[in-house]
Amino acid sequence: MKEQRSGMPVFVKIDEYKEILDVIDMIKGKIKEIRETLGSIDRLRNDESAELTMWNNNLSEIEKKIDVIDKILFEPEQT
Amino acid sequence: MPLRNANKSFNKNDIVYQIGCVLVGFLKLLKRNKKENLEDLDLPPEPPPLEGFEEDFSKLPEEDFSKLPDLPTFPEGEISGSDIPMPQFDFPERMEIIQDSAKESIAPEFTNLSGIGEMPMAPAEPVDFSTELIPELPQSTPIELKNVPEEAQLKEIPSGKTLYVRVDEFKTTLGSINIIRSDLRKAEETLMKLEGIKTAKDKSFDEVRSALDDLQKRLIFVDKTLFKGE
Repeated sequence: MKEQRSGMPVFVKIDEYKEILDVIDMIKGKIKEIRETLGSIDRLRNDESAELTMWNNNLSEIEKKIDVIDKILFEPEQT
Repeated sequence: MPLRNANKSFNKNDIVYQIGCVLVGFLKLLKRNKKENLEDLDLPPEPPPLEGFEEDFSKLPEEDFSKLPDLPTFPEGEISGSDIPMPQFDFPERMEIIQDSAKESIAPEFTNLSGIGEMPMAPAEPVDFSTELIPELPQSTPIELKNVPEEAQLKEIPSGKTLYVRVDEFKTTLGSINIIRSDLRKAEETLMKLEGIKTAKDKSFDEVRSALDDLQKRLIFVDKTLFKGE
């Protein structure tokens, strides 16, 4: 760069230009594929979150019913 | 200068110089007069007779060359690409290139050159453009890759031609490649973290599953115990 004059464009020779373009195309395809995989993971995560929420509600229902049974069985004097 | 006492052939064939009052003649005594000597030469001896060729050629059998087979004709169908028209190349005419280069090579007009007009101008020598000023075509032309569609780039670049990229764009590209490399390293670390989270989640699911199985067993025991009496 010391030899480069101000304002004078300096060029670098590229021998395998088409091969580089092919590699860049392949990288673009891989990025697209990874993006699709991330979208799929995001959808699976949303489904998992919904299932976990439903599971949590179900567990709350079970807990309530167990409390009711516990009251019925072990507190007969009060009823 | 002919000499009076010399014969005609001497005056005709020899050169005579006069130096002062002395006449000096360079006689061609050592040289042969070809016309005279060729006639006087003896004939060379006859060549020896050739063995086997002294026969009369009229005794040879006459061959009928009209019975020879015709030359084979090459079938046109087997010629590959015979029906393909030859491409029309759009080459620039040579004289146009030479004229353009001659226009470019004309020196600019100088101003304020006093005294030059008074000096005699040397006659302009005719320049042979066909040999001297043929422009040397560049071996490679820089192609701007910025803001050009990729397909258009591929169409414009002929095969086997050297390409160049600006140094500043090359450095920008190298910087981008380094950033991409660090991003890929980060993405790999994130993927490792996600794999750890997934492993922990699977472990939790297994624990929940075992807890639910235990709960179901205990519930069945309670159910059996409560409704056994009935």
